[in-house]
Amino acid sequence: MFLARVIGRVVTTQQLPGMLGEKLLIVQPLDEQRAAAGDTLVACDAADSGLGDIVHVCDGREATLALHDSYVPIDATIVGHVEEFAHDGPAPRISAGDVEAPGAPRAGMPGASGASGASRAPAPRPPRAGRATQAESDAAREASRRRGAASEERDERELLP
Amino acid sequence: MLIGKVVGTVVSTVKDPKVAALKFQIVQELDERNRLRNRYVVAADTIGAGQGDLVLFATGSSARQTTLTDGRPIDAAIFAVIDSWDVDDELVYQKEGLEAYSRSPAAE
Repeated sequence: MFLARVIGRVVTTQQLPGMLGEKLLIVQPLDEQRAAAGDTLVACDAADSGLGDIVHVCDGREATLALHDSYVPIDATIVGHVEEFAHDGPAPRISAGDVEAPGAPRAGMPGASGASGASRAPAPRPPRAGRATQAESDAAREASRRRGAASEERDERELLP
Repeated sequence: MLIGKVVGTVVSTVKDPKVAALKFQIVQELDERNRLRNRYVVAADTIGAGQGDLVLFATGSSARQTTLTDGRPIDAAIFAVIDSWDVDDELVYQKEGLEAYSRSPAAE
C-alpha cells in the first residue's frame, strides 16, 4: 500500500458490467514527507474520498477485495483516509512511487523499501523530479546521524488538516 | 490503473491458443493532464475500444479478472472507455459527442 493525494476523478460509462457504481479517482502517490513521489494513476474508491484527501491505496490484485464485485480488473483501490501518521526524524526516504508501468524495473522489490536505512546498501535509483538524489540523501543521513547522537529517535506526530 | 490512448493494434497469427480469441491494442500512457508519457503496453481489449479512444487499463494479475482474460497469459487489460475526467475541479478531457452531458464538477 502507499500514501497518495486525490487530485481528480474519471467518468466512464462504456466499461465492464462489474465496474458499475465504482468511483474512479486520480491519485498522486506521496512519500512519507507528503511530497509527490511517482507518476499519477487512477484508483477505485472504497472509502468515500474527495478531492484533496490524503489516502492510502492498495495495489495489485488485492485491490479488488475492497470492492462490491471482486471479479474486476482493478489494480489500485483507495482503502482508507490518513488522519495522522508518525515517523522517526531522520528516516530514510521510503518511496511511495512504486507503481511503475509494465516493463520498467519495479523499484519496490522486497528488501529495497521498508527496511531501515542503516542496514541496507542504498540501491541506485533514477532521481525523481523535485527530490534529493541518493547521494544527497545519504549525505544528509550521515550528517544527521553525527549531529543527533544524543537526540536520536525523535518522534514527530503530525496531525493532518 | 492508468489512463491510456489506443494508438494501434497488434496482429499475430502464431500465438498461444489461449490468447487466440483476444484483440490486442497498443496503448500509450497519458498523465493526468492529457499529455502522452513515453511508455506503452500491449493490452487485451475487453470492451471493444476503438483507435484513438482514451481508455483505462489495468496491469498485473488484476488484468486476468475478466471472463475474457481469466486463465490466460495476459498482464494488461483495457476495461473502460473514458467519457471525461477532471483534475482539481477543472475538466481536462471530454469525449467528443458528450458535451451535452457535461456538468461543472464544482456544482456537485
